[in-house]
Amino acid sequence: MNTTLKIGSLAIATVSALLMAGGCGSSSTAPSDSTKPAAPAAGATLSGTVKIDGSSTVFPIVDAMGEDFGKANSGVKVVVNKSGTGSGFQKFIRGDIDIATASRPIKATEEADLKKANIDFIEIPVAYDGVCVVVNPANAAFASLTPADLKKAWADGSKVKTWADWHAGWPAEAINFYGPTDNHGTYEYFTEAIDGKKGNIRKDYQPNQDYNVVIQDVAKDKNGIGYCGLNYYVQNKDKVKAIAIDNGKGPVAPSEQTVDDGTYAPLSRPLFIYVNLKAYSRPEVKAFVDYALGDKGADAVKEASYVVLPKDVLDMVVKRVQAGTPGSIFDKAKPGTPTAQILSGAK
Amino acid sequence: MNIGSTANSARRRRLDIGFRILCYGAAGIGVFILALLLIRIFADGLPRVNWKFIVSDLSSRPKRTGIWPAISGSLSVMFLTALIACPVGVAAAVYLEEFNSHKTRFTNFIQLNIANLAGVPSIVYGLLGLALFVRACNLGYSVIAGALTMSLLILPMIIIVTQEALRAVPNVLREASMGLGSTQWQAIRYQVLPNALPGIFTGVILAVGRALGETAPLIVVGAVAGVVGSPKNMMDQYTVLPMRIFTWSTDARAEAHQVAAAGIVVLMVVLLALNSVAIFLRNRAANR
Repeated sequence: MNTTLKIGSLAIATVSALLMAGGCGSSSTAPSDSTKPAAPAAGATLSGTVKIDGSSTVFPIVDAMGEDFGKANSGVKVVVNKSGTGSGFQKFIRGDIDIATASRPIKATEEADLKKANIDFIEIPVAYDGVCVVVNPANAAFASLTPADLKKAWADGSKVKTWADWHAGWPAEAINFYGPTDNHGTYEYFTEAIDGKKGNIRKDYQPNQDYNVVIQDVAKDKNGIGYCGLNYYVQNKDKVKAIAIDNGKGPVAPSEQTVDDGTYAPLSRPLFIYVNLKAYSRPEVKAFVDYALGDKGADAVKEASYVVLPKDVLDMVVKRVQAGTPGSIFDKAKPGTPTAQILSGAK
Repeated sequence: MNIGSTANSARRRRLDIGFRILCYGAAGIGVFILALLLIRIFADGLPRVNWKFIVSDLSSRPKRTGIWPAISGSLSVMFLTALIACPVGVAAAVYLEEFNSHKTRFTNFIQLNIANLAGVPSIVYGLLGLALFVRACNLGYSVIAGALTMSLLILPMIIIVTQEALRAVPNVLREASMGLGSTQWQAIRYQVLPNALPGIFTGVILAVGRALGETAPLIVVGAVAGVVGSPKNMMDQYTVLPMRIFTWSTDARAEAHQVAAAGIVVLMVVLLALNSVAIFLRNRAANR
């Protein structure tokens, strides 16, 4: 079948797409059939199920959106899961879900698989997050680090064992490294941002599935250092201290303000939802996406302690979504590139 | 050996006391850790548990969330699981114990496999359930798919416990029954099973109790982490108590951790209730 598609007359592609939509979307087609006689006026009442899975970082945002949207539209069920960014994309490729949430842009391999499965998607940034480097409050050796410092200590094969190895004059005590496991988008973003290569990280750090444990580890270990999303730092300011990042323009501490205006670089990042284009043609999915990009969506973002997209960025995003522009523009952007620049460059 | 020697007798007594302390200590560790856990959980969670919490819907906001859909989800899955696993498990055990008088190589092979299956990590059952029930049988991420997966998980346990219970039934009952002209079915139905019932009940409840606290396989077969209502039918989406506890405990907000503790309190009460019912049923069956 692959070769047929590659040779690819448009007709064959369309037919197979229709077959796939009919084959795997049994649960999605059933509700729309049943509503036909009940609701003759199009768009009056929505029904059906919106299936969402992916990043545990994005989960609190989308879960709140889904809850509120479900309340406002009692006929629609929004089912939100959090099996991780990578697993979410796997389900997205299988056609199991309508929307994949992601704390990193989609990868080239995932795009290739989607293409093979004949699935088009819309890429939508929904919020900003900062990756915070945190240490124990008792650690007074330094208040800021440069990306080069971070690379020296965190990169694979790093020779840094003690603080003194890292920087002359710092205590000669062994450092303990903590962070999330490799199925987290945060892990991939952090490693790529500091080293240029995804997943390139020293092997002797202590990974954990749960960010709360990373926070607890650092809070209890005066020689500990770790990284986590902004919301975990904001909720635990009394337990851990965030290190300011000096990206050449002086030290900048992570905060909603500095993440929002992009000065906290290169560890500020957009969070995404990826919407199956075919699913987007269903009214309930489209309505949910509109809701997510509206004021109520912004409230959900704030409530989960993430950073709302600035007005100009949001306008560009909405325009792209309304045009139904498929494909990714963030996949090849370097971490830390301002979102507005990526979006405006994509016209 | 000079048994009458006082020195020897004192030595033996010391040894006895030492051994007793060791055993008390071993038992104490378990109780101590359980107490520590309970105190922490109850201190964190109990203030959050009230009637409204139990009967309210889930919410992504820890402050106003309830837990009813998770309770009803857990109970639905467990009810279906018991419904599927009990007849199959008991029947399999009856075959292995009652109809398998000359053990063949084949039945030995089955027996060995059942013993091994009981030790397989639960996540493996989850993956099997995902491939078999969710995808191949096209049941989707539904209550019935979860229940079928859980049935596989507890089946070996039920079979093994039922076998033990059947073995404990004295052979004279079978022999007397069949000596009076009953068929094997009649002997099993009227003599063996009623006598083994208390043991079977205990085993089934322990197995269901284990399944109730199990999260890993249900994550894989699609128990929902987010906000979801109570399941309306067997094909509906669902969540379970341990899944909700997991979601709340990984949340960044401190209030969510309190809700997680409250969820654990509820889960333990449900477990305790389930066990009490089992003990009641067992005693009733034993008294007859």
